[in-house]
Amino acid sequence: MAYRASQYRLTSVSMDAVVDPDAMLMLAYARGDLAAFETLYANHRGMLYRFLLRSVRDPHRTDELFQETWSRVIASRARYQPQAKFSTWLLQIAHNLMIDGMRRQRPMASGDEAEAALAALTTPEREQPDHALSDFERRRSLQRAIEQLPEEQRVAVLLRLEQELSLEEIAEVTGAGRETVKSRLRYAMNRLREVLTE
Amino acid sequence: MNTPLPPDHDDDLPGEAELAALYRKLPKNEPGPALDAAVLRAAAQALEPANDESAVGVAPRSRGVRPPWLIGMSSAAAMLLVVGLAWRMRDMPANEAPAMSAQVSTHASTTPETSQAAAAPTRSARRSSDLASGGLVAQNHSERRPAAASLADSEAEKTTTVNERRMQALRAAPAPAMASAPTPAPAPPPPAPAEMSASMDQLAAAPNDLPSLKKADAADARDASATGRVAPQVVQTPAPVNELSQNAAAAPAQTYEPAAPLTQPMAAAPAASLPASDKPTLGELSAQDASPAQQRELDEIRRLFATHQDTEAQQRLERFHRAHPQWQLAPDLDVHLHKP
Repeated sequence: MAYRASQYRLTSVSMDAVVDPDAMLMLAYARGDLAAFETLYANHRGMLYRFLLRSVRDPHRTDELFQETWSRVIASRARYQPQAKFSTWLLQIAHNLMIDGMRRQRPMASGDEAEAALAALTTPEREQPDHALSDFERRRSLQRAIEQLPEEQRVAVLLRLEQELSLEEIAEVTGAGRETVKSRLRYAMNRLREVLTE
Repeated sequence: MNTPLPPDHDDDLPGEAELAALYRKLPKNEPGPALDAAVLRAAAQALEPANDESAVGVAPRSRGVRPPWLIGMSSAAAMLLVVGLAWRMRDMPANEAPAMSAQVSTHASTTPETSQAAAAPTRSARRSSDLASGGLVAQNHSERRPAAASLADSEAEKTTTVNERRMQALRAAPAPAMASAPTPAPAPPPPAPAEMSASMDQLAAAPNDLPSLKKADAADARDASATGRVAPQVVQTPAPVNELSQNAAAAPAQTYEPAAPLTQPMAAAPAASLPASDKPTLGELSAQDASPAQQRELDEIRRLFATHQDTEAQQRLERFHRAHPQWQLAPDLDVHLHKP
């Protein structure tokens, strides 16, 4: 099942660019249809925000990057060509902005600060049933393990788990080679499994 | 025989399904409503100018209207430029006249050394060299002819005084320098230009006819200014070519050197009344009549004798004596000359 899904993902990259409904919405927005943009934004706001938040681990910086990413989308509406999936293009913009921010040596939130920020965003503990405590702990462990991954591995894992992108799409977003992406994912997932089995 | 390998399922990662399931249980964080509103507002604002343009068909206001302060600044800058140019154009003739007169006076008060050095080129050559060296000045003059014409009149007045001095100098010129031309001239002097000879004839035939000289010189000055020559040229006979050479002693002393008489004071005039047969001694002449080049040569010969370079000194002394047989040498040099 997973194989079929991945095969479909591999072969449908170029076709997705043609029939991608999000791309059609973007083209409609470029023609002046604001409702098309609102639909597009509703489809991708959550996944983009989570990708940014878990990548930079700083809520304030996440808000800035989120807004800046959509500003770029708006500004480049006239030049938009649906050569790839809209989500891939959107994540590429976000990733580039994130990398630019890192190059400017802006310090990211430390581990404690990130943990506090993410904990504040998690579901309140009082809402959790007692029997789900172990599952909650496992999620916290996974969250911490993802945060502790090297930058490149963390981005690859987030794109894979959150966005369910193929290796090629991750390679397109990050600008790395396919095999490099695959290697990063292998290392990252091995590390996550180790943390969860401890 | 190789068995075909199974297809490479590169996209499969071990344990991915378990991790993905756990990841999906993570809280779904989403942007706040303020962030949503900001993005949607930006998207709506981006469409507004396009809607306005397409609906009304009018260019945005910022394209057509220029700020009033820009117009004011441009006008002020243009006015300043015009006033500056007018001021500059008005100052040009006034600034140039002193420079021209200074150049005239420089030419008129040429020192003996410079006149001797400059005596070699003929008048025409000098004119061409003036044209070449003062090309810029000539060009400026040709562009501003009225200024040059008015300047020519002032030059004519100045050349009058120069010509008066020249006439006195011709009268006061030492007879030996003019009369005793040696027969073996080292090189024939270049032919004097027609106007030069005419000028000399004028000077010789009517030495007291100053008005005619003034007219001629004024015309000459106008001609000079019209052709771009700034300063009036002193009447000079062409010097032999070898006078230009470094060996000043070898230069024939019989050449008429006009610069010296021009700059000589009036006290030199009595020397003209001396008969040609009365040879003045060098001691008598050295102070006033001997040219500085000859005096320098004799000083140099003395210096060579003093520094015991007798051979060279002797040769130069003999050469000097051959070139100037009419001069009586001072006793200290005469002794060396008649040494066996």
